[in-house]
Amino acid sequence: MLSREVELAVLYEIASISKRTRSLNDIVKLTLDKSQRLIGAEVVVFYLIAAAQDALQAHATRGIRLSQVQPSIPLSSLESIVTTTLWNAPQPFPWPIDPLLADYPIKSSLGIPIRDGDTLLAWLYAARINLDSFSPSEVTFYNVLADQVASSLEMMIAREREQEYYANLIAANQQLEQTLAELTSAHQRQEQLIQTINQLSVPILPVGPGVLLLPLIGLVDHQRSEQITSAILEGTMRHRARVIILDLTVIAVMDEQIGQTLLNATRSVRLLGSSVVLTGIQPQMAQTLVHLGVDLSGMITRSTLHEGIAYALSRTSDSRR
Amino acid sequence: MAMFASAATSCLDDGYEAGRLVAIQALASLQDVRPGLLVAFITEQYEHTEVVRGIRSVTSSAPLIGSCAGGVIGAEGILKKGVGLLALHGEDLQAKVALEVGLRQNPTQTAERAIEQIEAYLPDPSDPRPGTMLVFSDGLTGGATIDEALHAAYAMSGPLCPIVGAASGDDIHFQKASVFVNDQVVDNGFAVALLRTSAPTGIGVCHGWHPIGPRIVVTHSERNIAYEFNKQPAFEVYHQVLPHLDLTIENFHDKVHFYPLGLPQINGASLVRVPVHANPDGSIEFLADLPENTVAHILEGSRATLLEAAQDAARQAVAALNGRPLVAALIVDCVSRPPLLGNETATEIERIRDVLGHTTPVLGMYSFGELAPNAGVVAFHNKTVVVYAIGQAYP
Repeated sequence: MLSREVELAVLYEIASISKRTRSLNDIVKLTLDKSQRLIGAEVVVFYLIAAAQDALQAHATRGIRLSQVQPSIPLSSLESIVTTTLWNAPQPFPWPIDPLLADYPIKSSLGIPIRDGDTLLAWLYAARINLDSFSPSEVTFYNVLADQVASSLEMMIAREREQEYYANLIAANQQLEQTLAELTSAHQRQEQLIQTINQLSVPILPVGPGVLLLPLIGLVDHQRSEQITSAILEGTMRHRARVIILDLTVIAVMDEQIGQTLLNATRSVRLLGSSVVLTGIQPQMAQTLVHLGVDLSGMITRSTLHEGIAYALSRTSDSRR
Repeated sequence: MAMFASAATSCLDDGYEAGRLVAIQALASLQDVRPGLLVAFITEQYEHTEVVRGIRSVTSSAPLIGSCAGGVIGAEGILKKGVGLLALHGEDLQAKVALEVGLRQNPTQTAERAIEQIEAYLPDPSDPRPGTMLVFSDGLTGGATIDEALHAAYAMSGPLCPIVGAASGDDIHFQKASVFVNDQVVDNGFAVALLRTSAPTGIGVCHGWHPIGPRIVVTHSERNIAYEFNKQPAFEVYHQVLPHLDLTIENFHDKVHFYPLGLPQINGASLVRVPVHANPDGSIEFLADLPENTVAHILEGSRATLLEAAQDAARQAVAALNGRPLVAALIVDCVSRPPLLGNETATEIERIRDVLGHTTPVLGMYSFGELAPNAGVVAFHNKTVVVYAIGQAYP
């Protein structure tokens, strides 16, 4: 018969488990320690629900090596046992599987389910070999212990879920930041590429003293039109060009934008005291320009680039004389 | 299947000769049959390797286990300087010994490696020869270390093979705590001997310390350091419970010898924990672990209660022999008990011998901690007497 003082001390210590458990390791260690030191079980096995949720797996032991106990117990065989079960030799064993593999000369043992509501979280097996059977007080201690362990496991699971949630958030945020960095980098590369293309798409070629050639290539939109005009003016000034040849040989389709570009370029060059020669205008293109209302009257035209260059060189050589 | 035992002690100055002498005496009493196991205790004044060499020069390959002791207990009483040897022989006695070093650095693995060496000889549940594991562990490694090693050892030996033994030490000089097995003498070691016999054995554990004052809750502790009792600095609580001692941080170590802490156990006895010293922050360092949220009491003992307890330990051990005659006994007595017992230190041993019989071969030691089952499970005890009795085999 336990003294009231000892009962209180044991109960207090058991009831304090959930105050100080931070990890599964803590919970298991304290459970085994209280089971042995406080409640006098000579052998204790702590079974924990497996990840697949279909079995209990031996997780830790005291008084026996982990390798010497039943490693796994199907969950189905224990689910129906909802309360602590006391067994005394030589009664029939109440559990479908003996955790100590039927070899130990056990006098009495307890199977203590550790539950969260209807869900079995763990199962504690405590056995005595040399000592007397578990008393009703001791069974009560184990029930209190089971409640405490269940609370601790619930808190730990909640903490783990919370940590997992935050870890996922952090991972998603990092992923987002990485994607953003990749997009920024791609955008910068694209900008550089566009700049390079733009430079290549408005090539200004000196073909003789005071003569520049600008072959028009590709589509001409508003932005490119401005680039072309700007390139012509900049090239004229830098090279002190007298004649600028605009070659339209590879322009397949003439539209208003190109027509406008030609007019703007011609007017601007004239203001600098130079002249523009258009080459490579196809008959169909000429019709389109007229149709669009582009006034070609002030423009010098030649049918081929070759003729245009010859004209330009003759103009510049005349002026040098 | 008869069991035989003999014990001898010597206090010769020369370690080798002292070893030789106890071995010759013990073997002579065994009528020259080969001993199945030898247990030796040697006080700090000797070169232990020399003593062991002396013993082995006589006993040859008979398995030997033992440790440094704060004093040797023999038929002649207590030897502050001496060598003691117990020799056991039985027709079905089997003994296997093992030794490992590295306890301080890794208690669990060191204990496991030692037990693994003899694991194949551990008794099966159905074996008619149960076992006992004698363990001697370097007492200077600290109670927390030994406690951890004990749990590791118990997980392997199990309840079918109870552990009994001692934390080795000297006469409270904290200089020497070697343990030995056969020819090997080491510091920082964990020595084990598995003793298998069909003869009955019994273990008695008792201390004689009783709770005083209100119950105390260990509200903050880490391992063996108690920071707070009842949410106050641990030292303050000791001071409040024992106002007559005029405790200060500085004199704490000297004045609390006789006021250890007790942790209530389900068997009604307290597990004794010895305070070593107080720190300036008000925490108290204990000799062994003090779990947080444990309910405890400060304990007090008197010469009368300690003497009675020693006799009770002997009674418990003999009672476990189920009426079979006692063949031999080992005594492990805490080295911190004599300071309280004073001139009745020898009386304690006399009381034990009154139970065991004055002609029974007995060997004992003063230890830095006692290793024995507590409510069935091995525990590290302080300020306690442990008696291990070996009975005569059944006919």
